[in-house]
Amino acid sequence: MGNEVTMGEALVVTVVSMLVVFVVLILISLTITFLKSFGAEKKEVKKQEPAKEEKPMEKELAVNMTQEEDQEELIAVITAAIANSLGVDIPEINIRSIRRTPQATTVWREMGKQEQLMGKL
Amino acid sequence: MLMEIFTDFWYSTGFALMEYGHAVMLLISFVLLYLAIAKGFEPLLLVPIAFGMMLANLPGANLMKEPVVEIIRDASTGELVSMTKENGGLLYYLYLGVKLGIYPPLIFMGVGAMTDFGPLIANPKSVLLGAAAQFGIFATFVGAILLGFTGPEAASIGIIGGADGPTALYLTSQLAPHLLGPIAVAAYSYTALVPIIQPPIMRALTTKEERAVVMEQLRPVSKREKIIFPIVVTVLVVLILPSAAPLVGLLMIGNLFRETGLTDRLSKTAQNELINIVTIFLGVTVGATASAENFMNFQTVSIIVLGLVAFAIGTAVGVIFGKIMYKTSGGKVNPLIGSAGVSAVPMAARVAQKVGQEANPKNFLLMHAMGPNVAGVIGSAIAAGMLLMFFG
Repeated sequence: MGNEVTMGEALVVTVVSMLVVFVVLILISLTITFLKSFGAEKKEVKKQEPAKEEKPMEKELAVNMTQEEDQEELIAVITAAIANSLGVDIPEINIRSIRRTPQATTVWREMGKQEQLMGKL
Repeated sequence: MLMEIFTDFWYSTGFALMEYGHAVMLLISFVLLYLAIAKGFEPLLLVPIAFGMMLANLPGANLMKEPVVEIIRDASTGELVSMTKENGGLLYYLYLGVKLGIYPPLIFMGVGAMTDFGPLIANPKSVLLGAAAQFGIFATFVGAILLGFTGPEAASIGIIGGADGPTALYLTSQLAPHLLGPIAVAAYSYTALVPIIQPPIMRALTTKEERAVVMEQLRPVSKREKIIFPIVVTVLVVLILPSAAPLVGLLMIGNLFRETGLTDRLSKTAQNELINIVTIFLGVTVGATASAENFMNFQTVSIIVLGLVAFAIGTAVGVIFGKIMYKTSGGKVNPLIGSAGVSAVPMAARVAQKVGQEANPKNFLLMHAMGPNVAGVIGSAIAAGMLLMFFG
């Protein structure tokens, strides 16, 4: 097409191009749908793991949980951390409860202990 | 004698050669540097662009000077040969990477290596939203034709609406290189302004109820799917549209480096060192194309305005398409993710997340918006391929 473009030509370019964009992307979308059945990996090995996670996780949490929103984020983070350390996907683990364990020692003491340790390294 | 030396020296300095146009361009480059450094406006791009603009407009330095080549008859063989009489300026040679369309695809390779297509693979329907947002490109193309731009110029201006810097620069370098300066500035500024431009449009077109829709969690995507995806997409897209091969091909090779799990080193280079090196060359030389005669005219103003229009229409059509999907899916799709169809990865997806969370604090749209977002990158590369086919 030349340099000078009439309005009619511009509309043709627009319609044809948008059609191609849509058709190609729809094709990609169909391909992906097809990939899903083709590309699914065996998951039996991983599926044995969820059972492990059923006991309440006891974790020390140094985050102040005052709002419900914070708690949800916290749960998401803990879930992700567990999933990552076990090497499974998040939907495959089932966390029943998360309990905060009371701190056995004071923060100061904990700190002192760590400093001692670090000093010896 | 001494006086003569001083006058000669004075006439060789930039001060004597300075014209009104240079001075204005220098001022513009200072403003852009200020915006980039003090206001944090896409500094990684705008700093090189603005500095390149400054360098090219310091008179006498001739950094963008073209080499002088002479065609002469070789004395011994009698054949016509070309001989370089004078070499070009430093930036002229670096600029060849832009002119020949080398840098933007290399940047695309880095983008591919940074992009996770997982959300798209998990929700293939979101691809449609990436296509819808490309309407902005063509609406602006028609608008630019109406304003009297030529076909190739209008195509280069429209592509700003794809919100994808490398694609815009690639197309412009092939179709209308004299507009590179203003188009680069417009494309990258609007990409930086996504969080300001998009939310009002998104709010205006959706109801609070629609914005509050919480979408179902995406299915996990297997590694095998992620590996096959770039290969299949490249073959499919390039067979249909060969002119999109440089952009789509390099985007996907970068992505394959990322996903194989065996080519970590290549992936890291593509998404770090290489993309940074190329960005420096690209930014400085694109900035250097902004000479007074190219930049200071009414065209630049219309390009800046049309770019904004392109962006707004892209966002709006994306959201409207999102609304259609909301209706057809029986309220399962949050229309806000449509706005992420303009590429601007991952900024546009973050905006969708933010606006969604305002309506419903428990809403996490980010991953859902990443689907249309990365589809938008493919979509604008295809749109660029089409425009290149028509006007290249």
